[in-house]
Amino acid sequence: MKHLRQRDIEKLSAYLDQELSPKEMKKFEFRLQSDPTLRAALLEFEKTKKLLVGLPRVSPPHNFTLTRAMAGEIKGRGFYPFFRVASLIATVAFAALVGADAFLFDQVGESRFAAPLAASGLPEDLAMDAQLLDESASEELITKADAVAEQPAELANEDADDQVLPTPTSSRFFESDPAFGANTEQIELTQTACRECPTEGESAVSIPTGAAAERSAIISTGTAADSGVTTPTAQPTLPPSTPPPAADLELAEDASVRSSTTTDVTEPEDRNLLLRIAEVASAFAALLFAAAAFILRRTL
Amino acid sequence: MGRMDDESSSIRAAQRGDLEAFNRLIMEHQSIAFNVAYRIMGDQDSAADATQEAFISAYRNIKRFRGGSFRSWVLRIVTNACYDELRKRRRRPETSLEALSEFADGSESDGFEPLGMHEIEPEAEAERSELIHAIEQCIADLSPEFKLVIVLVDVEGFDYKEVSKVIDRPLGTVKSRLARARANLRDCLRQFGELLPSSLRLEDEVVG
Repeated sequence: MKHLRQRDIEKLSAYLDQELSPKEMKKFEFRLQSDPTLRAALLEFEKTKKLLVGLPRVSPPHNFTLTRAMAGEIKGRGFYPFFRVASLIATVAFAALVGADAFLFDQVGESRFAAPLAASGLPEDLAMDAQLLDESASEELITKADAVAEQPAELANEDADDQVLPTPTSSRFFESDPAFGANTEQIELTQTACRECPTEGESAVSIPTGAAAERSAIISTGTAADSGVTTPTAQPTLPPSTPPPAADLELAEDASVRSSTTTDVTEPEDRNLLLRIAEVASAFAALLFAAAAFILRRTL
Repeated sequence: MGRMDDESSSIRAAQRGDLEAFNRLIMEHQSIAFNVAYRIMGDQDSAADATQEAFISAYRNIKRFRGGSFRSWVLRIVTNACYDELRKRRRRPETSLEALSEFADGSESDGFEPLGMHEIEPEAEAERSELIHAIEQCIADLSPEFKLVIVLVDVEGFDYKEVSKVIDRPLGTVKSRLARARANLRDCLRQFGELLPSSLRLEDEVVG
């Protein structure tokens, strides 16, 4: 058994097809004359090539010409990636709009983060109080008045030094319980900074300092005031018909002004309407593009 | 020269969207395209599918054709379509009952156009058919790269440069693949020695 190197096989194959350069051809012919193994291999390659050349051609089963419909479909293929991407974008836009609607706006289209208040230019305290008044209105001002109302009776038996109660926090202020309102004789929201509180009367209020306390609402009841005990609930009380003190009145006016601006729902409603339209439009576009892509995909 | 001019004008017209012009190009090249596909795929149905897919792809990309040999360009698309189909088959191998029965009775001779074999005796025709199947079997056993090169050079008569364009590889690669393909094919055909004509019978010698 005799072996040829791969390089010789390549030369042999190229020589057979006359694909060697003239110089390589002469050199290889010289080798052929002196190497019988190479000559035998060349003969084998020639026979193999002849067998392949003699292979019959196969008739195509049909013509492969393209019809107008096929050409049209081919052109239509170009739109498939467009519709696919467009449907994806529309779907993402729809999801983003729904997400924005759910997380950024409440039912009337008002920002949950009170952006309008920040932009209103009001002092922070006033803005906060106005927001409190705005959001609470009459029924949202319901507090745990009865709980506080009970406290003076208990506290009446204790020393005056112990009558200072922790100021209710603003979070408690928002705890709405309709039952509280029924027992409350009078509910009054006061500015907690003592400098703005009316100083006349025997019911000076001792209020702990602190950021939470500054915006706290103190609930006073007539019962507590009558007891003469100094407590957070022993604010100077006013009958329902009595006009509020000047500071409170001013605050209430500011609040009412602010309330009138924040409860003006025309702008939020417009924004809300635009949001709804955008949501419906994006959903419709997503469906349309997805359907077009699906149809193209099925038909091509 | 006039044929080349016709082809060039048809190509330009097809690039402008003229479907009739492109169909003229198809008519010119569909036979060689289908035969190359058939040698690579091994069966007519797959070859027809690959050829049709290749012409559709060629029409879609005709504007990217920058001149040169249109035949080489089309055949490159055809071979790519065949390789894609072979890759799909490798991922999900399947053997149809039809293919098995064709292989068993060796009666797959429809569509052949015997060259220079008019009025052959039935026995001789049967032997020739067996020889053709033996050669095709050996070609089918080659790797797709070897298969393509040996079909283009020995069956279709391409020169090395055009093969280089079709497979998009340098001339050295063509030479190397062709030599290996011929050596492998010769070794394979040696086992069918009794089918070969005496003048083409191979010696019992192993080279390589």
